[in-house]
Amino acid sequence: MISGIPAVLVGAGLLLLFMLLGMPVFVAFMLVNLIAVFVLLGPPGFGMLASSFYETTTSGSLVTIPLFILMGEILFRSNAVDVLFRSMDELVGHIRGRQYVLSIALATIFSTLSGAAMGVAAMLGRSLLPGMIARGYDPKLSAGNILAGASLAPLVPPSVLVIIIGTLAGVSIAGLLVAGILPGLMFACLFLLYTFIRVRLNPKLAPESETTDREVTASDKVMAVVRMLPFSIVIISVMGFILMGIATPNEAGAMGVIGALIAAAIYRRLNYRMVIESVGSAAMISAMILIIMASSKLFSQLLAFTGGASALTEWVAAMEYAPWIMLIILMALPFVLCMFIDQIALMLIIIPIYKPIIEILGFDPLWFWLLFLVNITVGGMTPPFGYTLFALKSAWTEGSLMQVYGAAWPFVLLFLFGMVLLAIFPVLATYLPSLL
Amino acid sequence: MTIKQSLGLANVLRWHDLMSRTFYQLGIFALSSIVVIYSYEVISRYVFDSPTRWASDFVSFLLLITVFLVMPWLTRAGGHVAVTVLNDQLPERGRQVMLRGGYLVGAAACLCLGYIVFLETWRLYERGTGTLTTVSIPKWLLFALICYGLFNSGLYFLRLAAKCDVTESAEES
Repeated sequence: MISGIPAVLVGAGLLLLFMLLGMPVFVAFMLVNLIAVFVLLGPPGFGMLASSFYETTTSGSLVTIPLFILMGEILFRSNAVDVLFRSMDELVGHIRGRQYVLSIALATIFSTLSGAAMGVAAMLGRSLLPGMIARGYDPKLSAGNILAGASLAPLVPPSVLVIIIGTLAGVSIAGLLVAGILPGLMFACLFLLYTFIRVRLNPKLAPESETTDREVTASDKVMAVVRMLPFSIVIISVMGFILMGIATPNEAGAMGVIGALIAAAIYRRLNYRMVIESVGSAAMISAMILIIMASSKLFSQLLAFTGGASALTEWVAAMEYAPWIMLIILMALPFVLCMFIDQIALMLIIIPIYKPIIEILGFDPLWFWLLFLVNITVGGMTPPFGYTLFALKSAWTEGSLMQVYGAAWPFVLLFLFGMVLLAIFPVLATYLPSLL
Repeated sequence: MTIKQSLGLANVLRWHDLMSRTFYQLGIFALSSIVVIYSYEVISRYVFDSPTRWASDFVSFLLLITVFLVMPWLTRAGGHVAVTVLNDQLPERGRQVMLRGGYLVGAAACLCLGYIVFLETWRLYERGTGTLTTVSIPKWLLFALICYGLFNSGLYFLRLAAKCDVTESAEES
């Protein structure tokens, strides 16, 4: 019987092969599990396959996934996009490069509301980017800002990827959700700082003066804030209730859905058809994610059964490298793989392998898994295969893929710089969770 | 195939879609119920100081119900995520062959696993096993839904392989 590290290599190798052949990710997991159970346990082991589906889809912590998705679906159908767009446009003052600020702010807010980097990149690529270029803004810097802002989606709560990591790694989901707030803001500030420095060094990157349709008065700015107030209902319903200890992440997810419905009612978009479409779409996306998770459950159990996970842990423990070298090694693998493989699929393969290793290394789990989350997020916008790049390219028809690649690289480096800051100052990730 | 045979097949496919759509709508109802139950739980705990004993159990059952009732409709729409890096590099004909092959493998995996879950469901039914939750229900009921989701997805993968036009079916849905 194959066991130890070869078992891990064969299992992960088969999985990657099936995925690269274009099979649906959940089918790849099911096939590998079927083959592995047949080879290792024979037909008596098939009951484990059935049970793994049951255990995953009745897991209480995963209920948050459809609830967060539903919240985003309702908000996107409730005029939220138009309101945010108009309000932020009025709030950003007359500074040189104001549209860059607008693009980062909008991408960050939409990412917070939707949790989907690809969706935000595509939407802003279609709506904001052409206007920016027409007004004389640098196409690459504009596209880069949108890509980077959109890529904050998995980091800023509410985030579906956080729920998946928390569940698989056995880390507090509430803690991990809250841990993403400060790093998310830090990254947004880094992008703004970088953009301002670039504009300062090369003023041609932004037009000297922008003519707006009309002068924005102080009362316009107050109204812009008032218009955005309904979103605070959603934010309080989710993060407020978790931070105050009133609701679990699951219950906060349900409260967030109620908050989103109230926001839709305030914007006069609440109707039966909108609600049904939102729930239908959320059910489809949730089923897609959860069926992958259910199919992959047995994979991690088989890793343990073959002794692969423990052999790998012992091997890593015997390396005796300095912890920071181990951290770089552990981060390099998902960074590279995420350019080729779907983020969720990658997490399902890697987290069960990494979990015992980080225990041996003595890393703070919240800090490590947050770094891991940032890492796979960057993988999604790293050339040549990052998914978010293709989403932006498909929306930005005038731009070439090489332009998108060129736009992404500076921000990938900024993300890596931010990761170094997070690694050196773990308090950025652990301070807010320590208040819970 | 004669006209009569193809009309018969079209009718079967229509009934298949109708059944799957009905179960999909039940899945939507299950997801809506999760929101209602959790909202009720928060209100009854903090407003009336009387938390329920059943809310978390029911919600976990409803999550399973949502996933496996919606799964076939998702398969019909070609909505499962796949890594298409290699496929995208192929010429159109090669891409179609890869897609069709992927659907056939998907059908085989789903039908095979559906059969395994069916055997487990039958075993649970014969033993009368209940769920290990505060509010216990027969476990085979939930396993039967897993069985439905896998079998029906297998059938839709077969239909996709025969038609092999994902975008069309996705637009239809």
